[in-house]
Amino acid sequence: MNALLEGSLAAVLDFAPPLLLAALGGVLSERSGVVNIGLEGMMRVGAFAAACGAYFTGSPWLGLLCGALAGGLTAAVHALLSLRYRADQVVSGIALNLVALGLITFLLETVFGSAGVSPPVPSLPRDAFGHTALSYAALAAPVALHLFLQHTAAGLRIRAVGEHPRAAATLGVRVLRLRALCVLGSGLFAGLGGGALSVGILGQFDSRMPAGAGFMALAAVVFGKWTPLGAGAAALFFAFADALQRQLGFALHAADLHLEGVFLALPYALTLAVLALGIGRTRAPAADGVPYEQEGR
Amino acid sequence: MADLRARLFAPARDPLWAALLAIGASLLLCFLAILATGKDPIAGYGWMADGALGGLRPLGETALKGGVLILTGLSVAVAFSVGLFNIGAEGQLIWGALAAAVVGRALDLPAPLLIPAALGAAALAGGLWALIPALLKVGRGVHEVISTILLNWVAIHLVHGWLVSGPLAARTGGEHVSVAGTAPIRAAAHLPRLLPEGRLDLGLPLALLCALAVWAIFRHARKGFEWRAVGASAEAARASGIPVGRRICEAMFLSGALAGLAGSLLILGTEHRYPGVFRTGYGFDGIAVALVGASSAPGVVLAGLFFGAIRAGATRLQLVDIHPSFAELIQGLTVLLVAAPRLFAKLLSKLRGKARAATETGGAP
Amino acid sequence: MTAPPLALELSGITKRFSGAAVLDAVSLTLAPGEVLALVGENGAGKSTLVNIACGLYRADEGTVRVLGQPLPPGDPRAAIAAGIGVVHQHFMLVGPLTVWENVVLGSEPRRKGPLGALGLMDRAEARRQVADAAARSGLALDVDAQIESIGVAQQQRVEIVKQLWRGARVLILDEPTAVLSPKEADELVATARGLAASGKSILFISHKLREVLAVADRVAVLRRGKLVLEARASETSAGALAEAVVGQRVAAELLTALGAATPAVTRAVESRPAATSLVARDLRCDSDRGRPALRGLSFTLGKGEVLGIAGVDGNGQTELAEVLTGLRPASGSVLLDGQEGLARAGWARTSGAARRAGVVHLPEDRLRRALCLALTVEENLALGHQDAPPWARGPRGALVDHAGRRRRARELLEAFDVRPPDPTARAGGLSGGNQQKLVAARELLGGAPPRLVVAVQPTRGLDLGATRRLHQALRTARDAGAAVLVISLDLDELRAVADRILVLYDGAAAGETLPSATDEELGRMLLGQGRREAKAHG
Repeated sequence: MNALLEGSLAAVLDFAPPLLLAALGGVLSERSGVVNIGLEGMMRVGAFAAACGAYFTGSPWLGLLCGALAGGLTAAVHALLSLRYRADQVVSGIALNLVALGLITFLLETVFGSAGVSPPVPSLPRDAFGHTALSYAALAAPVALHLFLQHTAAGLRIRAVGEHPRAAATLGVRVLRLRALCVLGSGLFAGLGGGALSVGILGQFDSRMPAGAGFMALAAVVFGKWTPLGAGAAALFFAFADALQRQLGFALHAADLHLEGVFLALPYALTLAVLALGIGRTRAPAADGVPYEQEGR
Repeated sequence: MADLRARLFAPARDPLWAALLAIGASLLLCFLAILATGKDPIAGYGWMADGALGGLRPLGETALKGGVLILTGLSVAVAFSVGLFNIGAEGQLIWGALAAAVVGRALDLPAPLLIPAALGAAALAGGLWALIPALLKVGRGVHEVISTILLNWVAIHLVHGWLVSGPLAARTGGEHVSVAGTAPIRAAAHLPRLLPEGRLDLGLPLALLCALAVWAIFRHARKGFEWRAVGASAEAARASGIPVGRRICEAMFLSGALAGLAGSLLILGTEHRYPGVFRTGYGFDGIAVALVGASSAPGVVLAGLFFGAIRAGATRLQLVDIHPSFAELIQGLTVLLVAAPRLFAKLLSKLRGKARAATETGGAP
Repeated sequence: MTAPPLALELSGITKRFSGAAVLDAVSLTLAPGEVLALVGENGAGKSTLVNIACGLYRADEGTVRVLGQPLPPGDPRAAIAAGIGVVHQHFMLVGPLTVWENVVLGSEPRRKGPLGALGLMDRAEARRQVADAAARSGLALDVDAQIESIGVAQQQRVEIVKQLWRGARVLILDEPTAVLSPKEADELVATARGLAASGKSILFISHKLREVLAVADRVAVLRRGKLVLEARASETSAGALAEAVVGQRVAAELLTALGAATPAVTRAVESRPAATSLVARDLRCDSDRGRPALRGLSFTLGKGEVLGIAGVDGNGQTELAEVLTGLRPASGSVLLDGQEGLARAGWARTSGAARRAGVVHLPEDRLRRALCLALTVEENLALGHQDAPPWARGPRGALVDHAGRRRRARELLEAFDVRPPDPTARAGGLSGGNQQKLVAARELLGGAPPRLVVAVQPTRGLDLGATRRLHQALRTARDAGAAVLVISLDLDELRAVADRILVLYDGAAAGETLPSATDEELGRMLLGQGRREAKAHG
């Protein structure tokens, strides 16, 4: 049992970064008042761009940068549509997921000539314990985002804009611009998370990526009550459940028990339970998803 | 979330034109994308048209996929009517499919009884699963977008990672074949095929019947009117004595039932068992169908058939080295463009302005 | 002249909305360290004046000067920079943030050095500054408390501190006591006096004469966009103010204008109610903000009687209407033809039950409460009786009767002259006045004859013809035996349509009178000075 736990804990550091980074992206966007269902698509674009970047430059770090930028670019579409053209934020996010699904498969085939997986690409170097620098950075990221939101002027404004945009506007805060920046930041995070999947973990792009990690990140945002630390902890917990499931998987299969689905469903079911039972006053930012109309005077 | 429909569809003054424009623009963008990669878009689109419309067999495929898409589109549209955004059609579809597979296997009945029983079980399963977000919304104020997303994944993992690979998995001589999914359904549960050639089965007529029923409910039933009132303004509906919570639950049950039926069509019509891996994306596509179809029953039928044709045709894209998931790109772009009618409005007015300027300068001398 | 410049000087302000003058050459001055109270009925033009002073609206004529400098019109930021701070009736506070965060939002003190350049706030400095600003103005505040966790009075202090911290020298308090308990209101009056003593200038907008006389150095009264009285507080009286607010009205002229042939007094005698229909006893309920809105209201209403409910906005009228239509839980007792509404499964427990009992509702907030803007006109007309003929057919009205609905809709549209008279138009496309007519037509004539009509501000936004038609419809309902409750802020309207007037003040009955009561009598009751109290003062 001890070995099992140890194995799982070690694996968490591997599996957590994509989830963690995407969840923080979700927190940033939703705290500013823009729902981001498109995390999954942004991760997918990021994962592919990171693989491409690493493949063509030979540097996994440049690959990660490409991933983040591509995620940001995808987010820019979301910001443009939902903020400037007032498309429904949920619809825009869903549409982006669909586009990412089709587009990336298409590009994968075009660039690498395979609809399944990319060729192996340079992946991030690992330290003596087998972890990448990105893993450690991802662990620090929730704290950084927390400090940013709580201790900087921009953070204060973001929190205000997600709750009561009109109040912030009367004090001179430019609501739409700030929201757009947060959506872009959210895309950078998600794209980086995608890069963590392809360049960080697997060392190649798989056409099934991110396989629901974006949605699980969304669940982590809700489970973590829309706070960076909460979402970070939730992402770690979900990653742990996932790792445990993988570790247990072999044992269970040997006993002819097929329970991995129960483990995999657990994060979502728990999040739902937290919402349903209202444990510890779970509440989305008040203006989350509510379009802001500037005064036309 | 009040007045969701108005927010989604009001900016488009004419939903038909908005949809056609979006479809045209998205086809054009995809054409350019293929061109940019050095492949042959004309041949590609030709193959696609051929795969969707060229003969009985392709038409059958289009109709088959169209039928499923019509049902998931109707599912999303019915939820829209009470102002709810049901992103959970995928999960509801999965439960419906599983229920159909189980009943189609377990009951020893003649076809005229077994098929309705399997369909009914699928509708019930999907409806009950959709009732969860409805009750959470009414009772606890949980936003349905979040709860339905979560429930999708609960359904996906519970069914695929446990039920279908564990308790419900087919066992052949004690040997475990988890990838194969459940045991096959009885032959009596197979949906009858309608054409000598191709796979077109009873699914499309069933879907059209459902569309007719939904149209009749929206247009002629008092209940449908009350749903729409709830969707347009829950406050006003409550003030005029309509039990808002109950109406939301009813509509969500129907929404889930339609998605469940869609799942059963796939099982009873083509798969004939619940496969080990069954990620069809039809549930998510239902959102696209409902949006492009402006959430009306006739619109959903047209949009469903169109996307069915794209899906059927896209399988032929492989002939020019393009993966069939190109269909998702076309759909996604269409939704993206339908979702931002203001973008078109602006473009159109700009074009008009330019045209006017052109005629003015042209007419000046 | 060596006198210091005036803190605020409004000269000759005129503002028209679609041609009608809302403000007509209004001039006001406010000296440093002075409190000026601005009094007037709803719709007298007070809010418009405030919005012009703080740069939200442009005046059509006239200028605004702050400390001698003219303000550029229509520029709220310039107004803030010049030192004008408005505390709106609805607070502009971010609930989950702390007090100090709300105060400094948008102008956050930064750390010194490179950290500040990175945008790091100096939280200690910010907290200290906010605490200082609060202490200097004598307002006790916990700067680390979350806005959501503190009471309304505290939140108001935060708004005041927010303005002071930003350097406001002229504070405009827009009906600041409307949300406060009497004790809190007294404290606010003391705060305002303290701020004035420290040199701030305060424009204090209120309805309540008691606190106006307590807080103000001078009082100005607006009536229908005109300044009708300006006096030193010490040289005027509650009586004089009340009369100025309500105005000397000529009943006959008014009734002609409204097309009511019979003077109210005689009508009250003619239509003596046959039997008591509605009996409310000791009604109590809370407002949305969780404060007591009705505090033991009792009254009766006869069959075939129109009872007018008068009162300044926010004294429990909205909540009363909601209780009677099943939209708000309450305690006490309310009998309709002998049936208890607040009992288990009583008629006032749900809106559906109220409908079935024959209660119809013309709500105050029509866009939110009465209409589905995305639906058509005829669909909106069917709401509330959509299960009964001619709107529905079939067993239990399961089907929409399109032909019957269309026919009935046309009749109703004609009866109320709704324009355009197109049953298939979207309700959202109608003008405000026509939307109002739509609701009235539906509620009064759409279904079975009502037993109780609850009409809140039924003619707001209507032109004279439509007003006449609506009043006629209310009278028709009354003559058919309905009990009619008309809640209005407009005394003219109540005089024209009511048989009896009940004045609400602070959630209870301040008095009851006939429509023929004098302006002064009504004015005193409205402004919280009952007859007895007035006598004691006099």
